Amino acid sequence: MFLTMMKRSVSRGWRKKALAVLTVALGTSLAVATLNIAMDVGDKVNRELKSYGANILVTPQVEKLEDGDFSPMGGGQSFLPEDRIPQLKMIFWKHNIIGFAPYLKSEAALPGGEKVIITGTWFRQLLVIPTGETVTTGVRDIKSWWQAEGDWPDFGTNEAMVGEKLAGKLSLKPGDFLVIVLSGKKYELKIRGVLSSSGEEDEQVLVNLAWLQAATESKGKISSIEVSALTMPRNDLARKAELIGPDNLSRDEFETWYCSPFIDSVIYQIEEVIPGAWARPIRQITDSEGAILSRIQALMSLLSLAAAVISVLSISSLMGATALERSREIGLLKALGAHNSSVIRLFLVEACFIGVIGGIIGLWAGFGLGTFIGQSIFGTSISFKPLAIPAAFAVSAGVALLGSLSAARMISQLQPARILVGSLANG
Amino acid sequence: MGAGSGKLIEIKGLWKTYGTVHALKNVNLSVKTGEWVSIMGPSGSGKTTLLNIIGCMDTPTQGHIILDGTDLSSLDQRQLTEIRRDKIGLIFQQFHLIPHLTALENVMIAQYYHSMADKAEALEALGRVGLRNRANHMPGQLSGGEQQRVCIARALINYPRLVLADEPTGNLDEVNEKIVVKLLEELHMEGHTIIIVTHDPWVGSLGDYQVYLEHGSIKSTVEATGT
Amino acid sequence: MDRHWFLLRLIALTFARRRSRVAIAFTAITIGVAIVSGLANVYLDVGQKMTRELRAYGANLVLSPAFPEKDPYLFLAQIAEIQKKLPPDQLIGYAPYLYGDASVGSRSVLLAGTNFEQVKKTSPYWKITGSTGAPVGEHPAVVGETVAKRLGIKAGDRVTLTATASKVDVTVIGIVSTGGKEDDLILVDLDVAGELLQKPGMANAVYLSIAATPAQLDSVTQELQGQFPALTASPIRQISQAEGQILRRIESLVLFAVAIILVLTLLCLAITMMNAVMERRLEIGLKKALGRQDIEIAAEFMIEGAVLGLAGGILGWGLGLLVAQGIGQSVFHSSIAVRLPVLLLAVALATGLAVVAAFVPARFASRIRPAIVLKGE
Ligand SMILES: Nc1ncnc2c1ncn2[C@@H]1O[C@H](COP(=O)(O)OP(=O)(O)OP(=O)(O)O)[C@@H](O)[C@H]1O
Ligand SMILES: [Mg+2]
Repeated sequence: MFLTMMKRSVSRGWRKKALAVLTVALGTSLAVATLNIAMDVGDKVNRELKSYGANILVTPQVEKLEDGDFSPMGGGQSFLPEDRIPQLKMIFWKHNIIGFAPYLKSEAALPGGEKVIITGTWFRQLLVIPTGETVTTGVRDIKSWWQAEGDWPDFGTNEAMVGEKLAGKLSLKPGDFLVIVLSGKKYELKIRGVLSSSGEEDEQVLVNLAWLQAATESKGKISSIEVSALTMPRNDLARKAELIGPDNLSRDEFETWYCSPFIDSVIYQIEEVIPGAWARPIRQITDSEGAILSRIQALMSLLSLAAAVISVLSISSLMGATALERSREIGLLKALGAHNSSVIRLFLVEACFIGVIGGIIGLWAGFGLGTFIGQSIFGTSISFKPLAIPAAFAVSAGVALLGSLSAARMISQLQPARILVGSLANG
Repeated sequence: MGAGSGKLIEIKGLWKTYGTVHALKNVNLSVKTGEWVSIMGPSGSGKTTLLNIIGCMDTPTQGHIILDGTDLSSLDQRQLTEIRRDKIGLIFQQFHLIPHLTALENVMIAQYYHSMADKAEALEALGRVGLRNRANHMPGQLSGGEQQRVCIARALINYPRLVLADEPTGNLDEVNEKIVVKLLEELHMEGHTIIIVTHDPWVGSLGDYQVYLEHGSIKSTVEATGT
Repeated sequence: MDRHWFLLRLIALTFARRRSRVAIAFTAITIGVAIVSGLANVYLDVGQKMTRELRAYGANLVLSPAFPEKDPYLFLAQIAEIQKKLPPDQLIGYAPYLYGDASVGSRSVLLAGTNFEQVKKTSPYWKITGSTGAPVGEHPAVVGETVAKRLGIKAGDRVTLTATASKVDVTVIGIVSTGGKEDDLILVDLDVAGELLQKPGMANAVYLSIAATPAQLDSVTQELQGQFPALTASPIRQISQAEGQILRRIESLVLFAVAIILVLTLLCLAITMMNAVMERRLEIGLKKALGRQDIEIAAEFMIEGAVLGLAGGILGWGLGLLVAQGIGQSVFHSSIAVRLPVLLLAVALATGLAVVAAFVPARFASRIRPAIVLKGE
């Protein structure tokens, strides 16, 4: 009997039901879209924030000097081994390492006797990882704000970039040659471009790392590495690890910490693979990043919440209206002896039907919408988050049920006598 | 008695078809001003359809109805609505009062639509149907008979030339039936033209004549014998 | 005119007596408008808010002498003048730096003089460990992590800094770790450094943190450049360029989300309002039977819609302010500016929507056949 009534009730107001399905579908799709974006926005914005530059600096460990002079400029007592760089792409969070560049700094003399800092680095270089993968990275990738007038030096040549200020001082332009003296020997560098970095590099000469290593007889040695890694904002565990040191965490906590892309755990893993390295966060980047990320995620979560509230609201009014419209029928059912619960059950089953159908449609539409939005804002598609499926189902079922609550309340308050009097009263 | 001067309604060759159902088949009828006509016949014979077409609520498929000198088939919806407002009073079997308005307001809304709401006049009309003291009650608080009387008060508030009633006593008990019939008789005495659809032989016999419909055609017309 | 008072009374009665149904529509309008106007407020403010948030990245403009070969110093008097030129609500902080060589014992170090108060504002990311206050009457110093490791300096130590002609005792109040050039510096107060290096009242550069969009920052730069030809103002592109990009992305993200919710809300409202009128088709049929013209019935419903929309719009706007403040407080820890145009938008939106939603069924009134509707089912 219940089934027959269900069937009739479904076939009766099919337009209204279609409208309800449409509303749930719309609500769900929008909630799913915002939810999906909210889930992925961290990743997306994280990548965007990488345009601020590298967030990890790796240098050789410093030891306390017992005696002798220490000049921060002359420095360079210890080095890192260049052949360990590929290891960066083999740590646990290797996919989060999105770029890096090694540096070797030295002091050169200009023909006039003036001192100038010469930096050897990778401009953009192909690197083969022992696992067989290849990566292309270098300063051009991690310093997106660097601009070159002219061109960038080719790999394996004696071509150089000259900082904008230095170029101004010496009136150099791309295509010119620059003579420098490095550890007593004279070299001629071909200037490929003039670099504008709005930083200290504007007063330096940049050359290929291999060239500088050869010239200074420091093959395989580098003085620092800048790493650009995707990390997640610090949480309580991360702060605890920072406070007491990761090695003092309990086993489980350490496991969790190690397997979360916190800046500190990525740093820990880098230090593991590069012997003698001291990796540390570039706080200007990492700290700000965390703040910005959590803001944006909070904002997006609130927006998803708003979308869900609106969905509940629309279903609620729709179901409420349906119940009102059918109050005559409900009154009759109750007059015939139906319990509140059985009438409400009729409505709830209906609501579930609507919720499930609308939810399925909305889920797909939502993914489509999310992808579209991701595509148009970030230029890359929003990755499919499996967690969004149960979330979407929860949302649509919740929306439909919560939305039917007002209808259910109305049904139980309805007095059959009042409904059956006067035919317009059902209007 | 009651036979007025001119013809108020003249129906010629009227057909009404719903898809394949012929609700009315070639109906010819004329009603003079001041007459009381009872329309009778078995269920589904087309009584309501005929009344709706006379009442400008429906349009014929074929044929002509001339109401008070105007051919309804030449009018558009707007003009039909005006005629309904100015010349016709409707009484329904299901009363059809607006549920969120009081009896008085239900009468006044018809007044307002016609010309101007006038509370005193509306109260007087309710007084006439014996409901002056129930004026501020909602339809839900009135019995079926009382609701029907409000409906009558609403129908006569604008002094319509033609009163159309579709089974006005169908939902009422004997006592209320008598009250309603008495009201209709009074209206008739005042010169209103009345067309009433009914299944009740006694109510039908009160008319000047009775029109019997069967399968959409007029089977017979019977002059009143009694009162 | 007198005649139409009755209509207004009728509408008032309709509201008063159909409370539960009116409440559904009213709630829908109110919540809908609250969310939309709240989000609109947030959207209009998000750029400004994020601009401030992004100041966490530190200084975005640096002032340095225009001709460093001739005169490598800026004068503090000049800096004070510049500071006055900048709008105070946009200037987050300004930190002057004076660099020079000094030595600790036999080891040479890089010394920087600055203003610690301002550094907190221009470089909020500095992590200073072991921070203790300097005892009264002593000069505080902050030592970079690398230097501290090399020289074995800890917070609380007293260090004697020597330069060509003079020496000064400082107390190390903390070790700074930034992962940047500060790690190689010993930082002291500008006055102390000025005296030690014999450059009193001078600085090599001033770092400014200005809450401004990249375009605004460019115009500030040009203005300063024009007014003070003796110095070069240059945006720190690492910061300003990335900022522009991030801001654009975030703004469009929020815009999308707000647009989605707006569409959803409008649809939901339209459905609710249409329902509210549709369920009254018997009433429409009866009114038609009583001789009311279609457009007159439409007008009745539209007036109802307008009243409902107006009230719901205003109340919704008020609630929307709460929504906006809620978001502002929980996301940005600051309040969202109240914008009057949003009120107008909210009211216009709600009223327009309610009227249009009433218009659709009213148009549908012309298709209602009173004979059929009144027949019952
Ligand atoms: N809207 C419609 N669509 C299709 N058929 C209709 C419609 N309205 C009426 N009919 C048909 O037209 C015929 C006449 O109907 P009508 O309502 O006039 O009968 P009636 O004489 O008033 O019957 P009752 O005494 O039961 O009220 C019936 O067969 C009915 O099924
Ligand atoms: Mg009938």
